[in-house]
Amino acid sequence: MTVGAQSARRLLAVTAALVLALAAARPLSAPELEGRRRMGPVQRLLGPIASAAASVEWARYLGALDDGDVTRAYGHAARALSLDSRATAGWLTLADHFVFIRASPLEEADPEARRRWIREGFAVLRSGEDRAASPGVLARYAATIKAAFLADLPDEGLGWPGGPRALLSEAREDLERAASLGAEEVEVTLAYIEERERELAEQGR
Amino acid sequence: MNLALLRLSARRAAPTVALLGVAAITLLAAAGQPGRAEIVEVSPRFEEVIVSAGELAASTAWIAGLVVASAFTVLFAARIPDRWFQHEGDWLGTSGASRSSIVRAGLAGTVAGAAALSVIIGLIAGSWGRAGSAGPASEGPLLELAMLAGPSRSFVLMPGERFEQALPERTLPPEARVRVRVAPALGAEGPTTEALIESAGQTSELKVARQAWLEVQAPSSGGLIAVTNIGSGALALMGPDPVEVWRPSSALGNGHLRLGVQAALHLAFLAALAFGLGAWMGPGIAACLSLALWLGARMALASTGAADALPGGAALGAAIDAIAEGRSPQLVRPALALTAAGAVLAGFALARTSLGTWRRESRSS
Repeated sequence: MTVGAQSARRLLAVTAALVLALAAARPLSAPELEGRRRMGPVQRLLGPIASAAASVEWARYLGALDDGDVTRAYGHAARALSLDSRATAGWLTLADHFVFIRASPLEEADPEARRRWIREGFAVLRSGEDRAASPGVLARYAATIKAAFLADLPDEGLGWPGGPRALLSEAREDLERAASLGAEEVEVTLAYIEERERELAEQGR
Repeated sequence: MNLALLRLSARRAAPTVALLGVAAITLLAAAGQPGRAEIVEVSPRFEEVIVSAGELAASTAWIAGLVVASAFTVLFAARIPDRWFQHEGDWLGTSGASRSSIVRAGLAGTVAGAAALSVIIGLIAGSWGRAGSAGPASEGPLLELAMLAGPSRSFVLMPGERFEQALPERTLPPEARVRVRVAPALGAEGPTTEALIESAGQTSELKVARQAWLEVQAPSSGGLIAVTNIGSGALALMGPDPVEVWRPSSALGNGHLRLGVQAALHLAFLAALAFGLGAWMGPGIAACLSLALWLGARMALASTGAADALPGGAALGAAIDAIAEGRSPQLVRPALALTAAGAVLAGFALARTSLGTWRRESRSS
């Protein structure tokens, strides 16, 4: 190796180290600081590639689900959420799985078991609100599921305690929380909830 | 064999940066498993996950470690003959050692260095494996695949239909398990169904809403395994060979040693190819070509009977899956070792042929 080539390599390494140091020293915003506080040591160590590693875990989650190994799939999901807990899409993916797949009448005939899985989905969304980059999106999604999906299901299928009225009331609370967390287009879902409440009142339910 | 040259090649094939890099990535992958408190905080149902957390961490560590080790292996192995041509031919080529002896020692060192990377991954992933788990998967005996059986293709059982598979007469210990791969299928009344598996007086029922295993204790001395579709939907038995018999295993290190041997064969295969090709072309191109050849072979053989004979192929994937399930991989098949040996011979022939013109011309000039 010539002296010139060695110098060029050293210069490149020093420049890269300087760029990395400057990027790391950049002041963090309040939500970033809060998110960083919740990071595990591995997530901190991996830094920007934690998100890519989480994507790999999500791919393995889907593969395990395809193989019918839900225990392994949940392991990959937990690991993905641990690696990149700021990714809102991850929390939505897992909640979707609980609410729409595990709680499906095709998988669970017992309404009590179905309700348990649905509550599990909402628990995931609620956990995500403490960690994700867009917590308002998660709260609004919980409201949308309750108002536009669960409240429309026939009572005999799911038997949610309190029926559609209770679900709409919970959805309204979720929506208020979503608004306080900075979610956009909350009014659309709120208008839908009010319309549904009027319909139920007209039906005397 | 020139031992000094062998040691030099081993150090060059697995330099400190490679050893540390592989160890760091494997450790990061193994340690990245979320803790119990964190899992339960996300969702109480995630308690289920804790059952296999240690095994999952170990399998992830193996995958991450092997990906990095493969890249390091081809890169550093391809550079060894290049150095001979660039600088070292002046003294190495004029030494008393024959060219065959130089290539033999260089290749043996390269393969040994590659195998050292596998040892490092195995030590880290293996110690993380069962030590990190505390669920039912680690409470039972360690199992390994004893036998595959069943039709060579998938087929469907309509409601009320029954499938029977006779297992050959052989003595199995009481802890042996038999499992059958099933999935819901179209063609009957419901989209999902229920299945009943029977074996030696033992029965088990399962609602089949997605691909799943029907599992029951295996008959101790052969006999019939029967699967009956007792639901209203159609039930597919997923071939080929949907019936698996698992017996207790005495594999060392909970099967990590067997996986380590498979990983070492994979890395030796890549190292030998990169070494041989590196004698004919630049190290960067040789490294990329080695990986491309392996990947091409893997894709070409994917659905053939020879898929298990390629180091780093289907057998390695199955072995890592077995570790993730808390089970032991099978013993390394002779075909796998033969293919790795073939790659080493090919690497030797390529490098030896290239050295035929050594000292008469220089590739770098």
